[in-house]
Amino acid sequence: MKRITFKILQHLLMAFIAFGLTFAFAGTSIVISTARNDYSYNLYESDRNRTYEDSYLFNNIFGNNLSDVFKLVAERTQLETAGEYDGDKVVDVTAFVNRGTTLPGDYITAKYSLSDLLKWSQSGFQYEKRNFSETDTANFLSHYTTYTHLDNNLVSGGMNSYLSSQLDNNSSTFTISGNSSTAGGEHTVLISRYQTIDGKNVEDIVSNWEEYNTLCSYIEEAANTLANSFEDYGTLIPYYSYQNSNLRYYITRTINGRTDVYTNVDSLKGETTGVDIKSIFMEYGKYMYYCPYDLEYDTNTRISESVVRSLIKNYSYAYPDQIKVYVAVDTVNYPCTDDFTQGKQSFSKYMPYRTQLIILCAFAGIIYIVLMTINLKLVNAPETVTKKNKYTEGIVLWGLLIMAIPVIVNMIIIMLMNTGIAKYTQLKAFPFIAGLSLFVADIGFLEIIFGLYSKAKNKSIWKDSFVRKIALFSKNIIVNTTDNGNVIIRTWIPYVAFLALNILLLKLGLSGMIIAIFIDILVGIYLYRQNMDREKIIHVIENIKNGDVKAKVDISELHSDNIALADAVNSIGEGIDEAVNVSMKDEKLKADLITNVSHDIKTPLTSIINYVDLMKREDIDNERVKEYLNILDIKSQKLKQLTEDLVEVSKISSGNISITLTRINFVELVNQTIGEFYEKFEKSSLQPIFKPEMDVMVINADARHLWRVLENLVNNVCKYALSGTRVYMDMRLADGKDGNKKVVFSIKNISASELNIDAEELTERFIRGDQSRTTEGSGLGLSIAKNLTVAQGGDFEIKLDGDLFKVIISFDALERTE
Amino acid sequence: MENVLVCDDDKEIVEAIEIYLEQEGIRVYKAYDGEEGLEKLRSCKIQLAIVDIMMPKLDGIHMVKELRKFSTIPVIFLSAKSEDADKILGLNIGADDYVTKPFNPLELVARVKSNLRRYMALGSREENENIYSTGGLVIDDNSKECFVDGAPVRLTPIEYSIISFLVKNKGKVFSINQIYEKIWRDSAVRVDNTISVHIRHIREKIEINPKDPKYLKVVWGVGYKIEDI
Repeated sequence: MKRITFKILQHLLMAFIAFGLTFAFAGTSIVISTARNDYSYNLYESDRNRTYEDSYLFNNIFGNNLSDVFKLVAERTQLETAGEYDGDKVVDVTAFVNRGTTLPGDYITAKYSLSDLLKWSQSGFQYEKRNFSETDTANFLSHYTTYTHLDNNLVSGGMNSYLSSQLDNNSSTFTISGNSSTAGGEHTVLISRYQTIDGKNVEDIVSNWEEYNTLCSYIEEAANTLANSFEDYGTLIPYYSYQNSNLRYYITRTINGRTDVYTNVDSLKGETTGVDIKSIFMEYGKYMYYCPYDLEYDTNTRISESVVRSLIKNYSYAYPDQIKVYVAVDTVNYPCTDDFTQGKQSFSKYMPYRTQLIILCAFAGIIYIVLMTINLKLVNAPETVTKKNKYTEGIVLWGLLIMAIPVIVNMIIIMLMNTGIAKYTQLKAFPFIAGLSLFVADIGFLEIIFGLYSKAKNKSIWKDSFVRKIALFSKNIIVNTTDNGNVIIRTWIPYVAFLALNILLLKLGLSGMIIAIFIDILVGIYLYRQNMDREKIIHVIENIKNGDVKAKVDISELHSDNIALADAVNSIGEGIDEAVNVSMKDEKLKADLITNVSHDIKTPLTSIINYVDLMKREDIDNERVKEYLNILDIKSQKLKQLTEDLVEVSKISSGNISITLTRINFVELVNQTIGEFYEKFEKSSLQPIFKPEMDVMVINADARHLWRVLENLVNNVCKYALSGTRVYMDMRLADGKDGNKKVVFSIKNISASELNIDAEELTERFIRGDQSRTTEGSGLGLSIAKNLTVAQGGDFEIKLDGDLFKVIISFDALERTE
Repeated sequence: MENVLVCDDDKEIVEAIEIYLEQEGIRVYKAYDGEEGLEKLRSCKIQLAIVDIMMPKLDGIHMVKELRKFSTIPVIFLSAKSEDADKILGLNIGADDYVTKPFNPLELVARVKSNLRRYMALGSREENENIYSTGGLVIDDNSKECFVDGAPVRLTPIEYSIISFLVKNKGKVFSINQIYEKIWRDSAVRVDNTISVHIRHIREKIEINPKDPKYLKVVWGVGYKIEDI
């Protein structure tokens, strides 16, 4: 409810703004009908503190009236004699047509009475095409050309031939024999509807076709011009009559001593000797006096002399320098209703309230915006989220449709009234119409604003848009046709299309070339982006390959189908990471299990070993029992060894051992080991031979673990080497694969039993050289040795060659520093 | 006659140890949990205790902590836990020795006797100018004799010179070469394993368990030293 109220309030405000503004601005641009035209005037802000008579509006109206008056008076000079229309006025057509220029002293012309010409123009000029033989021509045209001569043809002081031709008894005629170049053929002949004042036709005046055609055209032009002037004159005379207009004019013209008076003030039409016309005009109120001959100009209006001069110049054929122009507006009484009073009415109606209206409208505008803001805030309320499923474009279209209604209605009204838009806006009712129109338009406007705003709130402007739907649809079509196609279709078709587009655009010329460059740049950016994305993905794949299974591609930086690729890579990485974690956890669990189980085994094993030992101490006569006891002793010891080795293996393989690397002398370590095993070698009849390359060979290793490695190896040798053989141990420096110096230790012996096994398998758990597993040992010795060596960063390698068993251990050599 | 307490929740093990110790003329008091063990220690005059770590009611660690509040008798831990961390923990809270299960009965007996001897002889030893010692290992440079926990050890002259050199410099590590040069007073031309064989022989004579030596220790890859106890 609240929102609807707000909306209606907004519509009303909008209507008010429209009304106010149109009212204010209609006033600023007012249209005033004058004699011939609708003039539109602007109200100027600067006029605000002036009176009407002092305003630009008044002066503009005055200026337009001035122009009309000069025209009227010019027409009066053509059509009147002594201030009244004179149908018998003689018109010299050649002088009239050439009224702007100077004629030669002698010229060919025809003189008609004014009314004849006007009538002729009304009924129209008719021509006839006739074939003339030379004889016909001689008969048709006069044998003499009649020339007119102006006795007084002054051109100074703004005088011209036309003005001179209007003087009484100023012309004489004479004839010159001609018709020398008469030509036959087809000629156009003017049908003489009227004769000249002498009762002549054109062909009676001229003696050749050229003169004939020229004179005919002069007659027609003069007649038509005069007819137009006459029509105008008919309108202007009553308009500027004393009774109809507040404008007063009094213009005198002196030609060659003869003075004509043109005025609409009846009292001044007669004799005016001794009357101070200027003071009379000054009393009317606003006046203007101009006399170019005396270089006089006087006015209390804003019209400057140059304006007046330029207005008169339009009709310079009618105004010589010897004129006096008095024009005034009766602003004291305003006795008539005319454009001046119309202007005054508008001025006083709009001018004082214009600023207030505009301020009021601005205020209404602010309220409108505030209401809109509050209303937009209310859109947030959950019950208003209803227009979710409308298309974005639908909302805009619907709003525009509503907004179009008042426009269309107004246009129809204008057409029906058959007036111009300017006139329509001047109607008194127009502000109300504008208000109503904007009231309706605002409904549409708010519909768009609120619709879009609620969509923006839901972040669904693009989601709900119809364009998106079309885009998705077309994208699907494209994807479906390309994705399911093979690689050739997917790569070559777009490429060929791209090339074709480029060629087409290049054909279009420069603009096409620019578009082509633009498109090429876009494609370049697209390819660059695509490659950048690939680069990122490949980088991550490289990382995963190198063991960093936690490496991830940042999908937010990628585009289009690369996202799917990156997703796949990420989930592969996650899968590997999880698998590694699970296997680490499993290994740890296994190690813990083995440790715990071995603890539980050790306690009963202790009793077994102890009691077997105790039994052996008893005096037993039975040899078989003694033998059995011996077996029990050996096996229980073996079990003990097995459990200890098991714990160790599981600890190493689950990474549960701590490794402390220190600098140690590998040679010393081997010597110490041989010392430890001296008796054991002797017992197995083995001869250890150790020949190091140098006395000191330093490596980085965990001494205790490396001792364990050697212990296991030597133990192995003592157990499995063929007795009576020599055990060769060797230590030397060698170049490693990675370019570092390596300390390489090798131990080799001849196996007592046949080595029918793979070298790799020897380090697998529970694998021993002899698969029968009867000799002592758990079978974990080599496995422990290898794992410990690797854990310290060394290499461990077993080589089998017939019965030769060889183990090679290598570590990075350190510089000897002591 | 010495009195020894054997405290383990496994009756068979306690009885087996009793048999071994009684053969050596040692009286054995038996207990099957920590509380019972403490009670026996308080009520009887006992010179040494063999204690299992994992026991009901009160475990070996807490029992020894409690014991140390009123007694300084030697304690030997007997445990299935063979981790280094376990051994270090046991020795740190005041045990004198640590034997892992399954144990060698002879080794255990030797350790018991050694600890008893040292405990009994404590404070009675005379200090002399030419007598050097570390822990229970004593070198008498006057008579060129060597004693472990008061018991004399028979050594060859070379073995004696090696051990006396190391005991005189106890705590320091010497490489095979350095020992060779000291003993033979000659520069080592060709290093071999002669010294390490001697060292091993010495260890077999002075150590209860040569593989887990108390005094003469191997610093792998560097050399040998006598532990300064």
